[in-house]
Amino acid sequence: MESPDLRAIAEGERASRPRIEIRCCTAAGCVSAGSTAVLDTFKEAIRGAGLTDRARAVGVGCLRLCSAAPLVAVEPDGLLYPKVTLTSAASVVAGLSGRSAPVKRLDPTSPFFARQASVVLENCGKIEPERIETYIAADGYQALSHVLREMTPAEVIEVVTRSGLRGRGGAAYPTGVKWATVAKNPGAHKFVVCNADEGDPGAFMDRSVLESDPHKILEGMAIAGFAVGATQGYVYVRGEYHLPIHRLTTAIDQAGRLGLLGSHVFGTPFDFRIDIRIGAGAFVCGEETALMASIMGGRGTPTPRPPYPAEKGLWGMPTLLNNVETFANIPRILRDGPDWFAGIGTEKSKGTKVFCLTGKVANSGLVEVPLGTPIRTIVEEIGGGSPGGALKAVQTGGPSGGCIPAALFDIPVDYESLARLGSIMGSGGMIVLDETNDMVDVARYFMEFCKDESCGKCVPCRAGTVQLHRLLTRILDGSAGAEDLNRLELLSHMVKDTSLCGLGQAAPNTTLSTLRYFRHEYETKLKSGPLAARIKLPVLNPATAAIGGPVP
Amino acid sequence: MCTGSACYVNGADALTSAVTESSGVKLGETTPDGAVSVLAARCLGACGVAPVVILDGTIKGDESPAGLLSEMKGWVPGGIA
Repeated sequence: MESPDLRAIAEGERASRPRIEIRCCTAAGCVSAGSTAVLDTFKEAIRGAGLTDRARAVGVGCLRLCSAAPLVAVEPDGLLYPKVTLTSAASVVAGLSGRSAPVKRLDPTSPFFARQASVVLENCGKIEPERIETYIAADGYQALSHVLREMTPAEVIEVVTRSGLRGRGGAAYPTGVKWATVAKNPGAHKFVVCNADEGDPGAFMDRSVLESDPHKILEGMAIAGFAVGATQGYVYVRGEYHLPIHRLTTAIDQAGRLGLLGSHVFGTPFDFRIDIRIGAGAFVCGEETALMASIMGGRGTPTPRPPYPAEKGLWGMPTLLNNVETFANIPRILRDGPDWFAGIGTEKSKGTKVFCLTGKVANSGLVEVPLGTPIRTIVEEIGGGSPGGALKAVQTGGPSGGCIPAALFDIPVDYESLARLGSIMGSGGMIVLDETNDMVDVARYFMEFCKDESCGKCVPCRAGTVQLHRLLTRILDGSAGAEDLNRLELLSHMVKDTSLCGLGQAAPNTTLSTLRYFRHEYETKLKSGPLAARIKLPVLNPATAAIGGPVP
Repeated sequence: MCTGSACYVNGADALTSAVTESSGVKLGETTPDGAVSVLAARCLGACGVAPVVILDGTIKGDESPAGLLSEMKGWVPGGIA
């Protein structure tokens, strides 16, 4: 196929734009708040007012402040309107001709916006996710074009390695090292897989990126395919994500028609196809070996590693598996260089991270900050603190993560610091808790999730999460004694140390971290009172003590 | 009824209790006259406006027990207040 002229497409797109662009957020949070009707109202009002040569209304991706949904941005003046209704939409359009009462606006220089970074989310809320021309006008596919024409696979891997990018799915493995491993392993075929099975409740980073900027993922995957020698890519996305699936399908279609995916990409010998595989909503399928089993048509259960997917993955072939956000960083790293990327973040944690800030916080939504930003900045400045009671803790990493108490909010958010505190960055869920939240109940809530989502293949996870949930429930209803607290702790460590995959290994994290920082909340609930819990029972064999006792 | 973490932290339990107590059915059940089914969802993805429920296909954010009951007024004769 002929190589597409990106510059001509970009110029055509820019020339077709009227001066004023009204951007309505059409990501899931705003759609649920009625933004589709708001967008229609804008279009209708612009037509009605005869302003079509001056203004147009478009649907864009996430504008970040989900608690003020539906959000609308008006360019070129950078005006941002919260909680837009059909009436206020009409007033905004009337205001364009200077005849209406002013509509309430947000201050784009407020900390929520001003303290954020824009690398992964650089196009979110700016381009139209369902029109490839707008992505190309924002320098899209230039990195892929450059890579295919002027770089060798080894050079691409070198750039990714030097950038210091680490996997954003939770495990934080150096991306360049993973790419190099897949590249050097021999195989008749190789595969690139994007993990978009975002199963944590309260996390919507990947969904927002897929809904707002799907081509960035496709471009990142194609660059990865060239670097490791793969010709086939899969995006594994959970079935509940209807809108991301729809937008990805549209994006793959549009890219294929322009020759940016498929055979002879950009007119070069490189072939790369991307297909979508839809999951059925099992949390464990976010684990890489379970995910691959599901892609191959099997039951989504994990298998022991090694062999790692980089050696024997899909159909026994070397397979590169990265998370959505990891791929989203790739085009920009190739475009602006590894040194630019490595200049953001801390010594060991480079770049930015997207978080979903939710819970007891004034401003909830999508937040991107340089790694190393203190939790306090995220929760108190960007999030605006708790609207009600005093802040107590923040839960990071979803069901696999842990709770960090407010007293430690000054620590920087990077992989090592969070791990030292007994939590994880995870994929980016960040749930703020205030003094009204009972930490034992929080632990029980996440254990219930893990218990339900355990695939049942290995005993520690299948039986252990059920027993842990029962123990937590007993502590909550006041029927547990001091020995139950010891048993909870021992069993937590056993499940963590002996489960087959990450789901079970991380399931006790919230329990252990709340025991570490909020032990008094457990102790005051014991039937024998707080003192009894301080008398440690002698434990001869931790294994029998943990599972041998009469847990109802 | 959304049971995701953001909704849980923001008081989804109180919403669930309000609906189950006034309708007389538990999560996953339907009223005897077949009028109302109360279902739990893992996460509706509208965490920014938690707690969230879906009433007959319409997403309702920042919901309170009193607000929810008033929106469901008349759904169950003699039941939901």
